[in-house]
Amino acid sequence: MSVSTIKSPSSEVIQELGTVLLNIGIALMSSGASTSRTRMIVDRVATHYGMEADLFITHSVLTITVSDPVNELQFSRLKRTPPQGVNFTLVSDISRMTWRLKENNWTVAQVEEELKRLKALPHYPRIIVLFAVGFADACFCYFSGGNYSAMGVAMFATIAGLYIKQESFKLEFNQYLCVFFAALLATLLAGLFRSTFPEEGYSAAFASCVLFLIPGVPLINTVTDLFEGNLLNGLIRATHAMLIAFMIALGMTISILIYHF
Amino acid sequence: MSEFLYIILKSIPGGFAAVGFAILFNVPKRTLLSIFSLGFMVIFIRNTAMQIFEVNIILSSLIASVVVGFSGVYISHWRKAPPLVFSIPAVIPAIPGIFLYRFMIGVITLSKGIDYDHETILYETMNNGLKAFFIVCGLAVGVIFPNLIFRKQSFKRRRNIIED
Repeated sequence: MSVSTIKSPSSEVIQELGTVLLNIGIALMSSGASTSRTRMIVDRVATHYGMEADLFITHSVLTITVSDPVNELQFSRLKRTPPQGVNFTLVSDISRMTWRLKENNWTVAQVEEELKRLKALPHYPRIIVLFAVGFADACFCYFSGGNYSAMGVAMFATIAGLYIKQESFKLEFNQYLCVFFAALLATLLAGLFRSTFPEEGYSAAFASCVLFLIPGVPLINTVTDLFEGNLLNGLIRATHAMLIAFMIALGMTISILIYHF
Repeated sequence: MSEFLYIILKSIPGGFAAVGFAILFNVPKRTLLSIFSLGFMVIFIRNTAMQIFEVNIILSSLIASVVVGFSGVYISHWRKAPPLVFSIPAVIPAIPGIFLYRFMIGVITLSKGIDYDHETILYETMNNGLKAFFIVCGLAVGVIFPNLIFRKQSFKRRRNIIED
């Protein structure tokens, strides 16, 4: 059978749907959803259009096969997942979109448009992110027994570290290297205060100024994936989290050796 | 009673820390208040268990994260966002930064040489490292615990949809 005989209106639909499903899966995986959630959402959309979707999910590549049980058509495609930051608004919006598309009987083109719109939604303003994360680390410093001036130091070091992390990420450095730069700068700044004013109790600030880098989302997704049977993805995420933790430790160790703490 | 009030006051920074991480993870704006209260709850439950009921820190972290995991599932229906949006930022304030730091300092000291009182340092380092490791494991397992329980339910619902 030649390719032209397979071409029918339905084969175009399956192609369009397959591409949209793949984009949904990639958006979910790269913004911090667990493997089972990605599979569940893609399944939900495919089922709505009367198709069956099978996914092969790894951290960097997504493979999908969409099959139409009625017309015996199949569509397969593989796409790379770009490394991106965590974006829970996108995860939540895609989840809501799947319910709305069921209620309002959207066409595939509408889903595609909505996905494009959701991806383009603005993040929080950068200055707010910097100060919120700085304040979060100041709170960590408080839990570690720091006083108010130590909290201020932790906040200052965190803001500088996060700024460097964002900037080096923009310059497309290796993502683990970005973490290293951030950890090094934050601990160097906090360490400067600690060695200049040794009796002020700034060790709490020094200990907590790198906590904004802890890989919280990969860590919890590791456990989610492992317990739900996606062992390979769980191990990959665990390795990723370990590498980030290692880079934080490396940056901190260099500061400790420089200041002789 | 004053002890209880003191724990409440000391738990408020937990809420702010959770909101800070929530903003870093770019959560929807409508969820921020819930995340604040969940972050407060994690620290409050952990400290209450530790200081009033004298449970050890690993178990009390696990209890706190299980409670937050379940609350996250219920709030997620109300606020229309997946449970992970609430529970992941909320448990981050409970991550034991100071133990991790002491573990690291211990490892560096141990690797320098053996002219210190290395036996005590070795025990302390092991203690801090294991505590930190098990607390983090407890937090992660506690958060996904409701996920494992409710999974069956949502799977059933999905099968019904396919059969329809």
